[in-house]
Amino acid sequence: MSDIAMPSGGAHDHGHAHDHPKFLQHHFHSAKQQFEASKLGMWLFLVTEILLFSGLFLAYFMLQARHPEAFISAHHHLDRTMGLVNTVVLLISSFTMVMAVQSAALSRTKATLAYLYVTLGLGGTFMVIKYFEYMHKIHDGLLPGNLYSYAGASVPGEYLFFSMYFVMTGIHGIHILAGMGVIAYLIYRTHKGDYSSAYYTPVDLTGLYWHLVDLIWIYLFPLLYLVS
Amino acid sequence: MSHQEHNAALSSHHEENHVHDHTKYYIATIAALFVLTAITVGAAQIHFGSNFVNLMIAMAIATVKATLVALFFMHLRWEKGMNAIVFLSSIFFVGVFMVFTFLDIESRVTIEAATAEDGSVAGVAPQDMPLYVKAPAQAGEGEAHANGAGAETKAEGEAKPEGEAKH
Repeated sequence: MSDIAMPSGGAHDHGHAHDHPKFLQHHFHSAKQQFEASKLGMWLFLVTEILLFSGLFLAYFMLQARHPEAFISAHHHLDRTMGLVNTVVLLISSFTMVMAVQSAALSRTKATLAYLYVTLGLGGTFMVIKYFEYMHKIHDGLLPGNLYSYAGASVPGEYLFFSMYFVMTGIHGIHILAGMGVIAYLIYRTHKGDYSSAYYTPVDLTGLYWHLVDLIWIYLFPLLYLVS
Repeated sequence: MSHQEHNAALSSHHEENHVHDHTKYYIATIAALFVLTAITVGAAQIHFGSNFVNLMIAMAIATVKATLVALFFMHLRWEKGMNAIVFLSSIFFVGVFMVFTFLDIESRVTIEAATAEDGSVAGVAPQDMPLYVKAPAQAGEGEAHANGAGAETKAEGEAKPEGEAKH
């Protein structure tokens, strides 16, 4: 992120021409400007994420419009309860993430750490539930494309639903894992005492990312689990 | 906002960043998200005339939820606007993407219409089809599951040597 140390190396180097903090890079006028610029950059990245998922959503809508019976029949293989639990888990994790950001912004380091740990744990919970869902489908042969080998009765075209299911939840799951990695890094940095009201940009940006991943799940849940 | 000693010492550039405690907004947001999730699940149990209407209702509720997340959790409510402009412009282009692709949906051939008596699709004989669209050897129940990963997204009309044509 934008916390590269100054060439002079000294956060409190009062002999330096400008007295500025370690996190402030030379090409920014102020910490506030640097923060705003980082945020705008993060939003631009989130836009590319939205466009990435929009292609998948469009593919889903097209296939669903063409094979409505297959999609309705196929979605009965999904466990609605697990999907609902995962939705709630992710919503709560978004709440704890935003609380972590606020705690960091208010220099409440202990609270920041606690909220980050809870967020990380909820991300892990989501992935564990996802793992059991995946295992169940792999066991039944409810797989994408020509891997589909479900033995029971089904409507032609169900494999299309599972193609979309695995691609969409798979890419979403990779985003959760990536977010968990970044949150683990934030925990490490927070333990070191690097974040305070003066500088908490990485926490803020990770929060934005985490909320976007939650936002995508808000659409995935009804589309995949509640088709009828 | 909180000025701790070491922060105050850090920088003359440290401007007012106006961080207020928004906890009550966040709690209200998460509560609203739970209620809307319950409504989504409830609405899925009711049949509103057609699948399309049900889908639109589910998407509308999801959009309300997404708006709440963007406004409160992602702070757009408290920001000056550039980030919101970036975000909304992407939504606009997603809309363009979707609408224009859907205008084209009728020009796409269905599996049934494209598959001839002999199993050829759009004039391509089964043996001439790319490997990834060929039916697997063990076509168990005869369900259609011939397509590989590359074929099912958009090119459904062009590449469908489906099992059902042979039955």
